[in-house]
Amino acid sequence: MTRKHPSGVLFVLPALLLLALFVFIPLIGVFGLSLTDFDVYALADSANLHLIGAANYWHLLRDRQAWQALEVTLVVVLVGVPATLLLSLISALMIESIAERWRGLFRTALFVPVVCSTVAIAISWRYLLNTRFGLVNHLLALLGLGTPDWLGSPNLAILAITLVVVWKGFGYGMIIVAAARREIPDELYDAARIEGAGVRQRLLRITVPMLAPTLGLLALLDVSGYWQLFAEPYVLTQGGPLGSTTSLLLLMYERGFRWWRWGTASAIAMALTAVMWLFAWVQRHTRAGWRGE
Amino acid sequence: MAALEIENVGKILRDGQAVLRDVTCAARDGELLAVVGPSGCGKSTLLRMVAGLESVTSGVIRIGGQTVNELAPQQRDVAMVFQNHALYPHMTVYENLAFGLLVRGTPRANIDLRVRRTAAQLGLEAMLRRYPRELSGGQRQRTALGRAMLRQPAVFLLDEPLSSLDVPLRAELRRELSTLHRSLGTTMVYVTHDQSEALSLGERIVVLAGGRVQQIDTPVQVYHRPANRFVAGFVGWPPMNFLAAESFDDPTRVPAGEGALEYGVRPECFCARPGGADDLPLTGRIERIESQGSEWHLELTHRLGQVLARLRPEEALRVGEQVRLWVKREDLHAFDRASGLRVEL
Repeated sequence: MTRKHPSGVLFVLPALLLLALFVFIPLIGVFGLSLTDFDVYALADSANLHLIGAANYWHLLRDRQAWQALEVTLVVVLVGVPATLLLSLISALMIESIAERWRGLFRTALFVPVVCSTVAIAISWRYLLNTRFGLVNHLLALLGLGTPDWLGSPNLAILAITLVVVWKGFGYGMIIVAAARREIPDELYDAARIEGAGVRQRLLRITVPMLAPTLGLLALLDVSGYWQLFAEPYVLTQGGPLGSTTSLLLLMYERGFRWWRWGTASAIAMALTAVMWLFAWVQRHTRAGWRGE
Repeated sequence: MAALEIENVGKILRDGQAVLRDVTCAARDGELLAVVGPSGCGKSTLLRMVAGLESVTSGVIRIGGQTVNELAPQQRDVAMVFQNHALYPHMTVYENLAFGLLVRGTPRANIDLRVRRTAAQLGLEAMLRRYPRELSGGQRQRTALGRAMLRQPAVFLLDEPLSSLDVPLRAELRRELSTLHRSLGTTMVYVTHDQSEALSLGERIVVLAGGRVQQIDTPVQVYHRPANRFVAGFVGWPPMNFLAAESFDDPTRVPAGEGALEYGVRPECFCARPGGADDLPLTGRIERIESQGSEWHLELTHRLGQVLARLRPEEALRVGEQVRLWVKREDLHAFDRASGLRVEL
């Protein structure tokens, strides 16, 4: 390949321009903003704009709401990612074990939430989880399990948000795990059966380890996806009650577009970006290790 | 160690296709039985049925006198070596070898001892910590063999274990396998599509075609007294020539039997000179001479077709010339044209 052929630059130029327009320039702008006290008054009179250095970041470190938002986001990541992976794995293995002609139907049914608009899903779930006329509580009541206020109590609200996120997300992993499962040669299972491995041992000693690279990749994708949690709490709970479902991204949105404090919001955005960069770095380096297969 | 008996075994797939029909054969205790046939003849299915990986539609399979039709693979005390090794790619050689003992709950110390002993036997000591992808083809095959040996099964099943290797390695492992069989003394069933492998390894050979047993006998008998035209043409390379009585210079001297016959002559049974008064001459034009060093392969066109003869090199033979070759009467095989069965002359 010719390294410095001018036409190569032409080919990547459109993509680079788009990236610059929508990613690099805004990023630099956001970083600049995060060093100022830009707010709604500065819009009226630029004399109200001051360069305040890292003050926004220092404030963030002492901001109780920011710490709560970090906690909320971490809970969704730490509970949601393993739950998603487990559901993806189980559903993929079940799909692969049922008769071929039913497979398409189940696969489609479980994959639908992935392609649906998050807002539409969140609105549907708001109805389903409604305390008085929601289907979930109706069924729970039939079973005599009470009618919890899903979106109204802090602990349940974060659980409900996590459930919706997992429900929407696991279908994607399912498709990928199912494809990876099909790649495992049948001979391995034949050999294991002859060697004396039962169903459980074949699952734990062959299927799961053989799927480990795929699951690891999905884990990183899910972590970076859930880290950007926004639409579900925005629609379902508006971050409440008592900020118990305000994720970092939602907090940024509130600071920026509700209170018009763009300096603080930009600082949150930069912090989120820094963590995402860290994830991307981890992803790159761990994937390189797995490629030995 | 145990004998393997297969009695009237049939296999019909769910779509109604019959893969095996009324197969009866047996491997004596400690015997190496080679099952050979063209691809699609049902030999691998038969092996998988013995292993318990395929259900038995009809008939009985016995290992050590015990009927195993309904037993799960792990209850049959068999081990199997697969065509593509079927090594677990996420486990080291050590873990691959130990797998069977581990899942059966053998104590660790015992596993370690047996893994190391087997590895030493196969020359794999230095490879124990490597992963299958880091091994050569031969080392992978040895690991697969080792995994099967380790549990000291009653019957050892091998499904085309050498077909994925290149030719020199195949010959080397074939010798090793033969030595291994002698030292282990375990009953082995060796499935292959390669008739030369069956001839060199098998103590007895089962020739399978179209889901039916064509012949069961020692390599010598299968080669020299093929039971039918199929076996005659399948076993031996280059394959046997099939001729009509009229192919020979004097058809009246060709021994006749009842009904219409087809005659078979192996390429190496042609001679450039008559050995006795009874020898049958056949004249043809030399189309091609292929030198193999120690011998020549001659393609001749005779009155009714072509034959291939293997002869000692002779300078006098030239392409395009007529040549007269001789066949001893006892080297003449005869088959019934209708049934294909061997006819004794």
